[in-house]
Amino acid sequence: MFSVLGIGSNGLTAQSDVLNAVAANIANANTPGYGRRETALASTGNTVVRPSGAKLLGQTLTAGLTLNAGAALVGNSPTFTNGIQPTNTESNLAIQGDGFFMVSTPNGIAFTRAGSFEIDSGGELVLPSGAKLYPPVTIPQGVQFSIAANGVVTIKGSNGPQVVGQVKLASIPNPAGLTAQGNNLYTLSANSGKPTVVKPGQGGTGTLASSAVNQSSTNLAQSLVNLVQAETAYNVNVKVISVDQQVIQSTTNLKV
Amino acid sequence: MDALYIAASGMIGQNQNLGLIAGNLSNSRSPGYLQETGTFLAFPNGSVVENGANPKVLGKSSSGVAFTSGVDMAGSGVASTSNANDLAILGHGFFVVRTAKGLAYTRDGQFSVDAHGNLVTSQGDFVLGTNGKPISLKLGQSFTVGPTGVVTQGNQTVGTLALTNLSPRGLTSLGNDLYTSPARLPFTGQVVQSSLNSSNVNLSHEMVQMIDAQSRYQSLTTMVNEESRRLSTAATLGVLA
Repeated sequence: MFSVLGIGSNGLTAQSDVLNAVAANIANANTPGYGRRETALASTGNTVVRPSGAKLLGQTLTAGLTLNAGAALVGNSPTFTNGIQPTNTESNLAIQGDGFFMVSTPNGIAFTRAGSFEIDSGGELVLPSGAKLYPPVTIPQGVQFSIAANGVVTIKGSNGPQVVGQVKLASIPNPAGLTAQGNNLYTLSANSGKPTVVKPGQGGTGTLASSAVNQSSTNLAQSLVNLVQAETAYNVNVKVISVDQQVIQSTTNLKV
Repeated sequence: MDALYIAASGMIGQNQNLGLIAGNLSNSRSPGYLQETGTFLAFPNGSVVENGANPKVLGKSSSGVAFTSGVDMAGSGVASTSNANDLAILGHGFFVVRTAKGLAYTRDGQFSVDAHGNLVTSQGDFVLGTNGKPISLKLGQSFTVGPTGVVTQGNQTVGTLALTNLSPRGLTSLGNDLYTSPARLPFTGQVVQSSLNSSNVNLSHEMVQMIDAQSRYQSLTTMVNEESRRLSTAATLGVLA
């Protein structure tokens, strides 16, 4: 017997995955550099219950019977946009293009568009999570500095301006293929392609803006519409399960 | 005994109907999904069958019913998204994709660009151009798609999407939002970028169908119980049914 309960439960799982993504998007509507989760739903593979043209006792059934097992989540990838918002911290950096910052974490290099960099006690540019900018840039404490659009970091030295570092950006062929590691950090996957490390402005990465950060790519209005739709679809699957439960009940009540 | 077999064939049919409706309801939010339609066929005899690769008759009755499925080609709405990789077809028509098992057609335009610059579906199948090759894009550059499927990057045309209408006759579902049909027809729709075809499942209609199938199934179980009671009464009286 074809499992109606199984279809209902596939539907619940898929819609609950969508709800999780929508909830994460709404929660991160104000998180700098956040890439909203774009989910993709599709029907599952088919089960051919009876092929077309089946012959039974000399009678041919032209139309066959094919049933699918409901819906499944087939995609859940980050999508980034280019809006920027100003901040009051000079070490904050926004990317006016499609590039990514590289930061070193205990698990290796990670990529991010959240440029909320601060200067730590050692003078290095770090994210609030503690991940250091890669390649590292060190700015002595209490010195006036500026970060140019092309990534050159200059400090005001006693003998005039002095270059202390260069911020580099990575150009990733397919950012939607990146794997989220939490904390707004991403790592490469087979689907993301190999990054090219360039100076800001080259290879479509975009130039830098100091005292600014990239906005979250969440569109709040769209997310709320998605939330309502996913909730409705979830409830429909609950109804499927409750109907099949009653059907099973009447089957077990058969008196033979 | 006949009534038991007739009722059983009806119960099997209604259960398959519930499975089909549940599949449609589960896919009410799957972009480009075409709903399956069920048809009950009167079956003169031999109604209780085992399905599968080698269908066989388990019980005979004077009449019964068989349940068959088809694909509903009814048009679906176009909902705009904020993702330029999403493509929809306004009106009738399908995108042509190449899967591991050969050519297939889809209305699910949740596309993305893979690491090699190929336009792929959410399942990773290649979206084909009119030349029969996957649409290949320059990485890191946005692209625009015109109403006739011409794909441009900057001022350069990089390909034209293969688009086709399909004959409803023989249209079958392959699962994963993919369809196939023996006959192609000229494309009459329009491609819209940053949009998706919604699923063509009519939620309220399917909900009613589900309640309908449920009550019919339950009526049949009542019938089986009645027939069973009648048979036992007949047996106590020593009358053969």
